[in-house]
Amino acid sequence: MTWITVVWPMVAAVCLTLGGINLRIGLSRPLDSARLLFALTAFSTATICALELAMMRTESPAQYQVFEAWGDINSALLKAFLAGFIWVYFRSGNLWLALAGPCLNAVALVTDFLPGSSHVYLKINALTTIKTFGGASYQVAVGEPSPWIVVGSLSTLMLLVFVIDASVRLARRGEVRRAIYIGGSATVWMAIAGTQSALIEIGVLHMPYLISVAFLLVVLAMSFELTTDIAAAARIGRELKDSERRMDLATDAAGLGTWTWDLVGKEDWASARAKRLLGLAASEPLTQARYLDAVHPEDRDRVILALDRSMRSDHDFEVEHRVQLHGAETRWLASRGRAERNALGHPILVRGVVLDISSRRGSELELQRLQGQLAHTSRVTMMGQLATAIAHELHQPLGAILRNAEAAELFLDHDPPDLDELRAILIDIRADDKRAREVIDRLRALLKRRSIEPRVLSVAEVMANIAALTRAEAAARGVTVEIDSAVGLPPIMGDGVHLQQVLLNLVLNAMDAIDSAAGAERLIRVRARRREGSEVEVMVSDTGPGIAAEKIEQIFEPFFTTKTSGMGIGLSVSRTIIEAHAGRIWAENNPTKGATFRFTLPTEEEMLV
Amino acid sequence: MSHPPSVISIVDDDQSFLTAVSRMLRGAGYTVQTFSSAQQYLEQMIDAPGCVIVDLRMHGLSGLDLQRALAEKPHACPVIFLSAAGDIPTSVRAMRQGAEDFLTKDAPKEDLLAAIERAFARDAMQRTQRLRLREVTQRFAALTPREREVLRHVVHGQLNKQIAADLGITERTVKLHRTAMTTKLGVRSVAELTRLVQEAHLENFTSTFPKGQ
Repeated sequence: MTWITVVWPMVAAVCLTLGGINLRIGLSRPLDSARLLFALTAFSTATICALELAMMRTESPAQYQVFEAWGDINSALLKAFLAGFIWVYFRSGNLWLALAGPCLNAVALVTDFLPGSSHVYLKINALTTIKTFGGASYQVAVGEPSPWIVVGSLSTLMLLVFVIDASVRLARRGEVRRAIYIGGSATVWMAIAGTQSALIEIGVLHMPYLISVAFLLVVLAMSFELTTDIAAAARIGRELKDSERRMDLATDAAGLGTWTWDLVGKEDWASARAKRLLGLAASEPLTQARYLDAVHPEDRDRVILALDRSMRSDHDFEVEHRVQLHGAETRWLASRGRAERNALGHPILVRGVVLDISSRRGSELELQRLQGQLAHTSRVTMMGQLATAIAHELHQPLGAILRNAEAAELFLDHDPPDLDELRAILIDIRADDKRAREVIDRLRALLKRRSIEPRVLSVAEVMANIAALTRAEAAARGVTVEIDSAVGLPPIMGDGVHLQQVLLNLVLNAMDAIDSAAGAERLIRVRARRREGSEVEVMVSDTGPGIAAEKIEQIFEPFFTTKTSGMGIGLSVSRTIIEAHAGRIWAENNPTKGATFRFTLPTEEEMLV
Repeated sequence: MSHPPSVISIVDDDQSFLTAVSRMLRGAGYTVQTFSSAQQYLEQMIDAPGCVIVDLRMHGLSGLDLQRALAEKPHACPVIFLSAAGDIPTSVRAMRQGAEDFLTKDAPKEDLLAAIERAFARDAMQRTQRLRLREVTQRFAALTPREREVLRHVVHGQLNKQIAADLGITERTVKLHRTAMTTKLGVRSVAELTRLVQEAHLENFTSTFPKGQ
């Protein structure tokens, strides 16, 4: 046993070990091709190491030739792996240069397989035993070098140029450390190995090959790189833990439950709070299906829609919904999530948070209820103002029915009874009954307490109802109400009763304004038109005294009134109603006389978007 | 029913009620004319005996407006107001302006018919009065200025001698004027003459009786 038989196997072992480590890292998900290529580089170096040792110890030139050939194949592979490794690991350099070295080498390699040919030695004449220090000796070939050696060396040179170029580019990009350690060590190694093997092969040097031994430089650099990475990973791990703790604290303090849906694998995850909020047992996994199952049936479609939309577009998923817990308890949750996508843009993961918003929802509902109550009170008050006019509206058909009935009795007494007249009477009675019923229905709709229930609605229909409701009052007060809706108005989303309330309030206010002005012209115009964008605008203009400039902003505030008998809630309720319809309401003075109140409502189309 | 010449005019802007009430009154044997607005009635009204039934609340001219306009006409019929919902201030105003009656639209038929009969009676009376007045006025119009002077003194209880002194004429001339006057007026005694003067208490005639006498 000499130092040679100790050093070379040690080098091989080191290469194998480092190769193994990198193979393990490279194979873990997701695949790290740089690590894999380095592992292959190390393995082929280990093979070369073994062949080097074999060549040193062989007795026969023929055997030497065989080892030499295997070594050539391996060094060709080595060059290819190294080029690949640098290309992938540095993500820089010239691709053509990277390919040129290994390709050139492959061409040279082909000559090894031609009979009586080799790209190193044309013929090995003899082996010389050379004694060296420590009592060790090794074999060196003496033969005719092949002209192809030049090609092999050229390929090494090209690879060298590629590595230097890639390293310089990497350094310029700011990754100086990696460029110096890996690029530098690979460069030095290739320079040493290339030059030394070329000198051996042309017979200048009588030494064993040092390709594998010199590779130790690269091993050293790679190991350093690896330990740095491991240290960095450990630090990141600590930071991650820290960040996780901070996140836990934050989510706990905010009452947030967090969850992750793995859309590809089966690694769904949810925090204990998320499960608790959704009413799941701690051991139960929170899958997408289970989540939707927990959602209140009435809200489920909405949640699915929001989820679908978020999956298809790049928008965050955001929805408020109820969950039905065991027993009758219902809880309001706000859920928000974001999809993570792969390179093709397909969602592979959804991360989300849920928050209990029951108390906020509760106060919102309470506020809504109070607003509804106020709106109702205001409506009933308004109907009180109209009571005389409405009684008149109702007495007309009732009076007509009575007169018709009396007439029928009289016609029955005639001999013979006038049947045609009786038939006409019955038709009229029916018509008047319908008329009376319509008055009552309109009243009942307005007097009923109800929340805002939007449906597809035509503004013209609302205006027609207002015309019917105010006809008698307008006649009694000697005011002309002109109602004119533009043809072909788009439908809106709204609650007819509440919008009637707003219009009624504006028309009655306009009548009061006209009364207070005592002008000659007593005209109210109610008009609707489509505005640019997707809005319908309704306006009510009067010929009253107008609004004092300093009050025009205040009139929509609660309890602000300019009338002696008003409570000051009509316009503020109107504003609440219009804003609940996603519209705006404002007032302005007309250029000549009187004021105009306008409100806008988004069209149905707009609301759907 | 014994009022064929009397006509009921109905003014109401509610077509359905107009039809119903006219149908009922026709059924009850009346002659009926309908008008859908106060303006239409004012334009088309004729001088026929009867009454007019008016809706209080109408577009354009209201019932009260129509009543005011009728008050200026020489041969207006009595007005019966019908209201869908009667309010006290309006009904008081209507009655003060001389409405014959004020009924709600759903008042029983009997009430309405009774009101119509009352209105007819009043119309007939008013017509007779108007006729008599016109006739009396015509008689007074035939007097000469001097005969009127004499008449003024006579109804104030003056004797022929006093009249002659006041007017600066002879007692005989006074007697001649008195005879001509009583013949034109168709009266036989001073008492009859006094009653006739009271009956003909017309604006155009009072001017010949200076105030303060």
